Amino acid sequence: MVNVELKNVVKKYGDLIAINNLSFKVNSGELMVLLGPPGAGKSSTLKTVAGVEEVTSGEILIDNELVNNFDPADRDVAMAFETYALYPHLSVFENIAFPLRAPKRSRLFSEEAVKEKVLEVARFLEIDMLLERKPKELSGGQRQRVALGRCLIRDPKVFLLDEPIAHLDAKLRYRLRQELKKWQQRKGVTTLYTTTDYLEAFSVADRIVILNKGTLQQVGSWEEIYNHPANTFVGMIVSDPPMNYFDGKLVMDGGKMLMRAKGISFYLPSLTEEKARQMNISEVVLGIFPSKILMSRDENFMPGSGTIVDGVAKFTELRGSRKIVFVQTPQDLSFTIQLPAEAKVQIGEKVRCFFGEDEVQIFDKQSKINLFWV
Amino acid sequence: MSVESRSRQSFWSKNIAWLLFMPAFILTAGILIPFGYSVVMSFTDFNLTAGTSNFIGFGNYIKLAKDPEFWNALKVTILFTIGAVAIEVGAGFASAYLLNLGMRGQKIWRTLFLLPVMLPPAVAAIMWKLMMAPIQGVFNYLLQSVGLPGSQWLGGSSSALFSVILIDAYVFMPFAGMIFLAGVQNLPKEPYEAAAVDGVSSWFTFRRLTIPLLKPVILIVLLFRIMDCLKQFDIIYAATKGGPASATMTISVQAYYHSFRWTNMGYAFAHLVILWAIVYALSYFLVGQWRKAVSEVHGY
Amino acid sequence: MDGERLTLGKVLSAVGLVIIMLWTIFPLYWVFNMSIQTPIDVISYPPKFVFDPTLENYSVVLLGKSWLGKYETVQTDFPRYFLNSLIVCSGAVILSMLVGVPAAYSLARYNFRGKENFAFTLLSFRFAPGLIVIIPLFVIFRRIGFYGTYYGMIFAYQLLTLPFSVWLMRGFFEDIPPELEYAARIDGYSWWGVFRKIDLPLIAPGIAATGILSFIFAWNEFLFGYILSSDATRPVTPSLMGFISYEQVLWGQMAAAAIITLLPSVILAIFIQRYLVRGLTFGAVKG
Ligand SMILES: Nc1ncnc2c1ncn2[C@@H]1O[C@H](COP(=O)(O)OP(=O)(O)OP(=O)(O)O)[C@@H](O)[C@H]1O
Ligand SMILES: [Mg+2]
Repeated sequence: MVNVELKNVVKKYGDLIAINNLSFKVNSGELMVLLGPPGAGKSSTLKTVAGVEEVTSGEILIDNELVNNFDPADRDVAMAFETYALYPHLSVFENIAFPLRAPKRSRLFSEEAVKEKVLEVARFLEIDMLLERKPKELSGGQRQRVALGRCLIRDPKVFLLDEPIAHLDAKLRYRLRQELKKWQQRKGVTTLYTTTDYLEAFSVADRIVILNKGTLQQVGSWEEIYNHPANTFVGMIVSDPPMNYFDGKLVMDGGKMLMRAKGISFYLPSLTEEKARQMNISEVVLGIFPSKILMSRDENFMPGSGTIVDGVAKFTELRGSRKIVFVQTPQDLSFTIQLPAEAKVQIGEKVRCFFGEDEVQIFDKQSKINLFWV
Repeated sequence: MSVESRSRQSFWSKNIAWLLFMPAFILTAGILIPFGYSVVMSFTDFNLTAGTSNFIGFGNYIKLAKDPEFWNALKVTILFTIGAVAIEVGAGFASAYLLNLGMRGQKIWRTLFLLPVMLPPAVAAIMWKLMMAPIQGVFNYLLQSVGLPGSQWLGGSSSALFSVILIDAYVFMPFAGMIFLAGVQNLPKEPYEAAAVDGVSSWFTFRRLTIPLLKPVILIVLLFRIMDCLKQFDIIYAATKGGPASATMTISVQAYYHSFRWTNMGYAFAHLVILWAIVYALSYFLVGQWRKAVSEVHGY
Repeated sequence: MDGERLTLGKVLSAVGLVIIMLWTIFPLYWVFNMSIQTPIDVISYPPKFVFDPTLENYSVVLLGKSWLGKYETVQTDFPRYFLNSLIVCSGAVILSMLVGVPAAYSLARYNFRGKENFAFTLLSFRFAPGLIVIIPLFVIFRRIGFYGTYYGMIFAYQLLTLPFSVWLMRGFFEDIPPELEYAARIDGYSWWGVFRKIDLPLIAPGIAATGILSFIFAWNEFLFGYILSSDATRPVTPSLMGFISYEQVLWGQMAAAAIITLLPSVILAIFIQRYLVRGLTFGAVKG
């Protein structure tokens, strides 16, 4: 079994810092997703692990072995490129078979075995009827699957999948992301997988690395990230619509610390309070996911102990099975709520919103860091 | 697999860029030697027959400034360039337009149109010399058969320059034409569709859309044709050898005479250095304009 | 739509096209015509459009024999010139390709100090007046005994073809996304394996086109051959100047020689038509 570790990796393109002092470790057999907006440095990270881009500084270890100076061919990784990188002069069949025909492997596979393996992979990706075609005769989604096939045909130490299903149609994408996960688990290959889609990340990942502008934001499982996003940036990209943020002030009230925002106030949980005291923080940002806010048209709505906010539904938007409601309060607080599509709300209607105080994330206003992680 | 064979950040892989480039560098650096030689020798009175060379500072250049033949050569060079480039660009543009209309047999027309570009210019000049012969040449015959007077063509002191311009235009008009054609075919479709939807007149579209979009291509044609015309030697030498009586004596041909006929190499080099300086300055300017135009078009 | 005006436009366009075609084709047609006329026909006035064709001019030029039969002729060494051209042009092209392919690859794929400066210096030679290089070469070659040798000529001709080849092939290499090479490296191929299996097949048409264009340029070159060759090594294109002194009597042979000389260039050019625009502009315009 193989683990992969990055230690203080820096990658610069000229003056541009694409990866900034990145360290994390992928355990054996784990599927690690790199999640981040475009330009975050996801592809650059995979390329440095593959060895096609040299790191500017830092160390890359595969199987506890320093591979910085290894040729890409000697790192025993398979990579599916975001841009596909299909060989235009070879047929789909030959593209997929290409890694097996490399001098170092060609002895291991007879022509029969190659054929069999290619067919297996092609069937899995539903491209077995395209094997004779050249890449330029394929659609974008088909090309992407060929790129993936060229990767899956191998049994490498590490899979590097750069947005491997981003250009497939929605249906195939849903199916493949599950199948890919199964394939990976069956083979037990340690995998680095990038995406810009947090739902895809949550659905395939064992753990997730969140990147922004080349800098690590948070590493953790789905629960860890969702329950305690490390900073306001993470809260923004792991939810759609993004986390709601309000500016707040911490004030002392009878020996306890009170959180005050426009029309909201509550006492901090003791753990958070302690951290705020330690850091001597008074300006904070409150964050709450749209899915964590309950809403009712009933004026007496009070599902438990928590905070009540009254407001007006400004407008609504249907997104698949969800309904997004934009609420504004008389105190000029505005936020979004996520409800099931069936929920009935009229625009302009008075609504009562509720959230539990333990669902609120509190960030330092200056550093934007979640007090939980301080 | 040993660690050594796997970690080959060796001399080879570190310096591969230079190692691959080096042989070409050495071979082409060979051009710098004659080049530098020319520049240095332009400050001497190097004479090939006498075999002597003494440093005379700017002597050759001072002599040039006072030499009416040099000024005549400069004038002829400029007139030749203006005339040839004007015809080539104008007729080239018209040809590109006609060849882009999608008339039947287009592919064959385009192939035939290209042929002169690949002729050895010196051979083309000889061909035209045969046709331009004043007495038995076919051009005069054709002119006279429609009632026009014949011409002395290459042999007449007033018609020779125009005649060599025609020959240059014959060879290089298709060059301009095919580049314009490529430019026209590479034009993006959307802006034109948008303009059509907006109901803009076609003249306006041409002036505000086609010309700016074609600017890089136009500049490339100008760059190549102006540079080539300024230093044109083959065609003029093969057609007239600079005559009659200096009517087509360009700087290049003049320099040839100074060097190989009259063996005062130093003076010939001074001619060439001046010509080179003109060509270099102009090409520097035009390349800059071209780059600017390219980035403008891509910024659209 | 106005049908009348549309037809007028069409007629004008067709007339324009005919004029252009006449302008390009007529000189070639006429010189070919002259090349198959007897010495009597060729100087007759009015010129003859209809006559008994003869291949005598070609046989005289090609066989290179002094032929003192019915008409005046001159001895030429045309077959030898032709061979000289082949040797010198092929030599220059092969040298340019051997050295130019790696250099072009290097320029396309790696960043090294002074790269762009050097690349542009290469390009600027394209615009330098030929004589500024040839005259010193002539002087130097005479001194070191290279004058009139094939080696010397090949060296001089590659000064034309190498910068051109490097520039053009650099563009072809840049058309191949580097990610293809990355992918193949990851797939387990060595640097050389990648070059052989990915780059070479993809760039082969480009290399062929570059080689052919270089050959044409070398073949068409007049000045280098005219000045740097001896009688024994003279290439065809400059050798045609030899006929000019006899022009009054040898029109037919001159025409035949011109046709033979331009034939290789024209035929080769038709094969690589697709790359002509790109080639003639040093890759600046992708046709
Ligand atoms: N070859 C390169 N040369 C210069 N800059 C580069 C290069 N490759 C990437 N960059 C820059 O590095 C940064 C990170 O790029 P990278 O491709 O790793 O982002 P990414 O997270 O994969 O984005 P995307 O989701 O769009 O694929 C970007 O700002 C990009 O512009
Ligand atoms: Mg990417």
